[in-house]
Amino acid sequence: MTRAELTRGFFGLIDAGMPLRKAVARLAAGIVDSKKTAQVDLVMADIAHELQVRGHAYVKVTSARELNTALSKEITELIRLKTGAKTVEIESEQDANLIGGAVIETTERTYDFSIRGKLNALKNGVNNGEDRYIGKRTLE
Amino acid sequence: MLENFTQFAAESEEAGIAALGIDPVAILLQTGTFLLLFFLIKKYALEKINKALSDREQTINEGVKNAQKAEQAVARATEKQEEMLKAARKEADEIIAKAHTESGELVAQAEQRATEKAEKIASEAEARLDESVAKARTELRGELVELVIATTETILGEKLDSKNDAKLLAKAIKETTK
Repeated sequence: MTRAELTRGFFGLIDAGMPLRKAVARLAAGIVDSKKTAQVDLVMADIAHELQVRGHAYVKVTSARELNTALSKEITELIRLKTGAKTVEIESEQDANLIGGAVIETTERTYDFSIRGKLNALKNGVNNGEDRYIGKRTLE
Repeated sequence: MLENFTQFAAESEEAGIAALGIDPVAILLQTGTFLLLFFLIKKYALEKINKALSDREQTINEGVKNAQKAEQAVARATEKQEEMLKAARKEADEIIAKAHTESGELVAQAEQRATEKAEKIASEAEARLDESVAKARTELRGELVELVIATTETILGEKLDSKNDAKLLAKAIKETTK
């Protein structure tokens, strides 16, 4: 069974009215049977893409601190605006290494609003000699 | 017998020519002797003498000719020698002049090479210096940014509370939405 067949089968079950939990269990069984366990991430990406096509966006948000309701709403609005999705599903997790802010991942792109990301961008910019980071008077 | 003949002649003519002191017999005998001697010499020796003289003269003439030829040869050799010396001197002068020119060119080329090498060494040293400065600058910049990041992390980790964190994230999201 191919990845596309697995994805189509999963949505066929959802469209037929099968409860989500049961449909996911059937999908997992299909992945194991077709020996596609090494491609689980790709299957999930296919499903997320199909969901987005159907007007449902799946978003993974990694934040330094727990998201409050207002922030979840802001993120939902952002994803609706950028993807055109009607419904947005957020999966959140916390990572203190980010220091502050959050990283928002969709199937299409990643928005890095974390302080760790800003600091890494600063570090890469300085090491790559970008003028906006090092200025013109460095060590002259 | 000759003595008797002489005595007879002297006695017979003592009265005429003998009175003048001239002895005709002696003259005749001397003439005959001379003629005999002349005849003998002509017959047996004169031809050889003439031949010897002629050979001698020819030898002398040949010697003279040879001497003249030798003199001419010496003159030609001397002239040739002078010409050769003159040509050799000219060639030597040309060689010396050429050597001077070539040595001058060699010196100029050596100076040119030395100048080029010195410039190359200086250029390479300058390039190495620039490279070292750039490397040191990069390393210093890297260390500086690491220090800045570490300091920022520490300060933000301590000072950034949940409220401000949410506020900053909301602001970033709004700026992206615009």
